[in-house]
Amino acid sequence: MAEHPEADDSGFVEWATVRRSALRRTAFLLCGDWSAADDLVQEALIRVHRRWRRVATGNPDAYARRALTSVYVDQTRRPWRRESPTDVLPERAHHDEVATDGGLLAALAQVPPRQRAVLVLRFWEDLSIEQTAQALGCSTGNVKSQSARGLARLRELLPADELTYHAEVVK
Amino acid sequence: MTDLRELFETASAGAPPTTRIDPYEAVRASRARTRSLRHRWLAGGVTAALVLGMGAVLVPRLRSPMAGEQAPATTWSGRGFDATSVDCSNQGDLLMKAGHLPEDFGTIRAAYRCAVVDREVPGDGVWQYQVVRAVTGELQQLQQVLEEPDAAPTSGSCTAEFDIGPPIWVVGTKDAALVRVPLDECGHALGSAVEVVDGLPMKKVSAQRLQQVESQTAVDSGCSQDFKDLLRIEASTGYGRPGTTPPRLDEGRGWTVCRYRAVTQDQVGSLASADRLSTAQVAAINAALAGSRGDDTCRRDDHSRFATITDGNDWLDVALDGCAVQQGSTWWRAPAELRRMLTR
Repeated sequence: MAEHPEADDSGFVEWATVRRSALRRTAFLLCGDWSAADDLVQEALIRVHRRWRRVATGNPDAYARRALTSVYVDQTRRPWRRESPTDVLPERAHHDEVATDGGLLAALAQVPPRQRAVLVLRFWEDLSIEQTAQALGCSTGNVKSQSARGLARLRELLPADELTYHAEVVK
Repeated sequence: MTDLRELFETASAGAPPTTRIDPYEAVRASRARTRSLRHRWLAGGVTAALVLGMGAVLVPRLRSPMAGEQAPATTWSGRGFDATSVDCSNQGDLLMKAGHLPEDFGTIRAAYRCAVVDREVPGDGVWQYQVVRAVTGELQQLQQVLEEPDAAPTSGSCTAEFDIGPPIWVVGTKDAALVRVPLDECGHALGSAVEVVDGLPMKKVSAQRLQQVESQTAVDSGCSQDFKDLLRIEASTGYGRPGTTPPRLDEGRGWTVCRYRAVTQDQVGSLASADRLSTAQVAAINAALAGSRGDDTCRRDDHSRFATITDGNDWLDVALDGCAVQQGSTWWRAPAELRRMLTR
């Protein structure tokens, strides 16, 4: 029987083409840099493709989110990608900057990677606590605690009265 | 009041255009990535991109100075051509050897494609295979496509992608040749030609094991087959500091201990064994960890084995025949009891 050489990739390219923009925005919110976001997404796509036969029949979006956050968190522990440690935090974002992207990104940059990943998945991807736990491969309790800590950190950096979120996260 | 989602929306709006996210490149990279390259991706990304032909460089530049586009196709006698002699295990080699179909080649009587793919082998992990497929029809259409000339080089801007499309082994009445599809004015594979080639009817004629990519232990445990030896890396970079309070694992999470044989000169360990830890085992490890003491003299690279305890998000590294235990960027002297517990 004739066999198409790309048979194993059935649907991958189409799926990736449709989803790459959304993944790119999520990646950008995770790492705060469009160039690095491109690298994150491309690496995540490679990981998705490696498991495509398995994930294609399930939920490739969920697997892609997991791959994306895994790549992101993994990179933060590699010395050549780590930010230099510092005892002195930058000044708080000025109130006038809060509504701009720069204000949020500056604040997010000071949130630890896993907490940041939880915030992005919960409030950008609109994942439930259970879905976020699945995406990050951790417990729901861990998601709640990371959410609470991440939001607390954001509140330190952004005016609390200008930041709302779903209260269920910190229960 | 500003909703956090709205802030995210604002922050991620206005994305600049990119050519760096390419599903086709992801497919090629996924297939071509070898064990060593996979784990040196970040450090050696540029090198890998050039070798594997996935080097989409953002900076626009003139037509790619790719050797293959000017070089003639590699040819040899087509008499008694054996499809099992087709070899695509060295992607970089193919880039250099594939050329345009020679003008005097004559009628194509047979054609083959070759790909390197990963396959799970029950009980034996994941192996890299070289799969050769024969074109089973429409050879005339293939010949027409391959006979089209390369486009004249442009003096305008092009991205420096070394993309020659799929290499094809063709067999004629006298000769055999390793050829590529025609190139566009930027030296990239002509998209319409690639579509024709990808649409040809094919049949698998051979599958040859190349190398194991992941052991069954890695598949079963979820541990990476190869893992960066951060103890060694950070001992050499001077990163981190001695801890004040002992490290601890969250007993509410699922942990796996991955044991690695250190250590190659590129500071990557190879998976030796792995175990998922029970809650009781995690508690016992925490009891042992309580005896850890901050000690900067443990920032050494004289171990030959190390273990990583991970839940997929956090890692705690222990030199099994050395001194250190490390979590995040903090070092302690590991109690002997901890090393004994983790050693299989």
